Amino acid sequence: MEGYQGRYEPQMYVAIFDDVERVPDALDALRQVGVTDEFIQVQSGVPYASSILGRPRVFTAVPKYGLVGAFLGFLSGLFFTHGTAALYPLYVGGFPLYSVPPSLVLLFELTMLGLLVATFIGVLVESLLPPVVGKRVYHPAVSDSAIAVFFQTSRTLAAEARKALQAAGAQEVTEVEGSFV
Amino acid sequence: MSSEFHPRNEEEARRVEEMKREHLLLDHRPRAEMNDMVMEAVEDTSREWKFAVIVLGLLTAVTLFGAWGYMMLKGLGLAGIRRPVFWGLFIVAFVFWIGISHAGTFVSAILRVFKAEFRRPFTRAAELMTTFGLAAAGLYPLIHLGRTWRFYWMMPYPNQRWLWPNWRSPLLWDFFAINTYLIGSTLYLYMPLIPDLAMARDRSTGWRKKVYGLLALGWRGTEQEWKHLQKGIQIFAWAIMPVMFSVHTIVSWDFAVSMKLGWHSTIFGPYFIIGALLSGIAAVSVVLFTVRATTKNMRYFIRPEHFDALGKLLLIISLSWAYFFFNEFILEWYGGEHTIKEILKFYMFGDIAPVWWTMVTCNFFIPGLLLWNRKFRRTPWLMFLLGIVVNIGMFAERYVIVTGALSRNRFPFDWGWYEPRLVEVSIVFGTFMLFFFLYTLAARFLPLIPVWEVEEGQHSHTWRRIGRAILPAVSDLESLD
Repeated sequence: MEGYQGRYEPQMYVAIFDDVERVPDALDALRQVGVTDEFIQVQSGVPYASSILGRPRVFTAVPKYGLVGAFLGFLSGLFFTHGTAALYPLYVGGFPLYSVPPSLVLLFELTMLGLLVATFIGVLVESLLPPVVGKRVYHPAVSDSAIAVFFQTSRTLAAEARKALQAAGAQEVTEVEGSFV
Repeated sequence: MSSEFHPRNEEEARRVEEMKREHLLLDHRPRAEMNDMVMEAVEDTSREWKFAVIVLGLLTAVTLFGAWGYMMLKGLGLAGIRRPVFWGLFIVAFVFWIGISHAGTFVSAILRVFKAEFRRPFTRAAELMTTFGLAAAGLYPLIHLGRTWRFYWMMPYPNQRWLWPNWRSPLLWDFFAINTYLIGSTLYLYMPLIPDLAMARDRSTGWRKKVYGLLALGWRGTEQEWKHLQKGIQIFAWAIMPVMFSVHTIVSWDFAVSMKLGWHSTIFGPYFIIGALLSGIAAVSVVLFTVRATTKNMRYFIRPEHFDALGKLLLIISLSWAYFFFNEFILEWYGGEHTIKEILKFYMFGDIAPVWWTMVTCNFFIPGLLLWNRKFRRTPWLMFLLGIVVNIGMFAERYVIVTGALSRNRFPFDWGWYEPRLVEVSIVFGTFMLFFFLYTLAARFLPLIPVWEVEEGQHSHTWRRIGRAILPAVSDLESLD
């Protein structure tokens, strides 16, 4: 009974390619076997656009983080230049308590600081870096320019997928432990 | 990605070989080999390197921190700053280091935005200069303060002393601008470094593996990671530029917002920026030559073509500097204001004239005459020497602006002369040692070459045959979505 269940339990595999030209065809072959895009992850040592790999477009919310950061930075600048002047009023020689032109410098700097820091945080959060729990799939050959195609499928389909990937030019197809994220 | 090119005859084969020798991005090598080359350079902690680190570390400790500590103990009176020249070598060096720090961002961000391919192998070496240049510059406000331990008085918090930072002061703007730039440029250095740290993690053992693993943050190179990283780098490349411009503009406002003649000039902002770029790019050529000469395998990555490109940039910036300098000079001269004329005469014919003429010669005449020559630009050691000459010129420029203008005031009884004292010279020398010390350490810890960017560039480059000519062809892979 246990063995029967095991056949349908999803298992992670990796196929290693040495040339990106082979990957789009290999991914098509995987789809034909029945592995959908959400159960595939491609890892590479250089950035390949989705259109090169023939993969669904990746959405990034990083610019939104930047915008929120810029807004928060602007607010903190406003607090320093105008808020603290209101909290601790100090009248000097007839100068106005609030002065816009010199405030612009600080507002600009803090807005940009907010933008930059939030963009960096956005990159980390969106990429789920650093990993918090669990073991994520990875193949060290990636940093030597190999392209690793990780896919999750049942053992019953694995043999067919392996055959299709090898026909598409995979150097090796092996079973691995771990998850995508 | 296949970039194979099959020459039809011997002549074509010779031409292809020539182009490979010339252009790094056409001289494809397997990524594993490039990784090995970079890691071999990083792990090469030879006896000579250790000796250099110890000597630089000792020199930094004695000449910078020793002299600074001594000055704190005895008081700021040890420095040569006296009425009317209250700003001396410390402020000169502060402006100088801020200028040096501009090159990393300029080379990396602007060239990235314009997709200038030659930038790829040396962006990191230049970005490191930004971080360490700012670290050196950041010490000077503390040094110049004299009573450094009172620095926290500038912090904005309610206190019993009723002290509150003046948000309208350029000195406080400096604090925020420099810190924004330091944080921004450090993150900008770090982000493209993550994939290379992951590569280093995969190829090292022991403590290095642990540290690289920690710094690589679990990078795996998934499609999502690349997409977010590239978007982040893109935003940084655009956003860091106005920050960079603002930093040196604000530094120039330390002078220009005062009513001091010789400083109160509307052109000071752009004049300072162009000066910063001039010294910064010159410093990049110095650093690139040094890295190329002292680090293993760097001759493959850093080639005459890169010095050639930097030389062209340097020439443009040198001419631009001359344009701004002339604009500033001629308008003040024709303004006819008596004190201004005294200051300009003092610059050209007074005691400070040797420094002023050094500035003009090193910043304009020498680069302007030499950089037209392609052979000169393509000779690394000549570009190294020129980089030093230009930086001497830029140091002289800041010396003239800071101490020269303060030496001549409206009334002759308020004229003076500044001579730097040993403690000031020692501290300034010490910050140079600190910069070299940090750079030497970093060169043996961080992959100085962004290997993934070089490989990406090599993927983009191939050959194209038009008639009987063979030309390099570039595909814009970066703009693909």
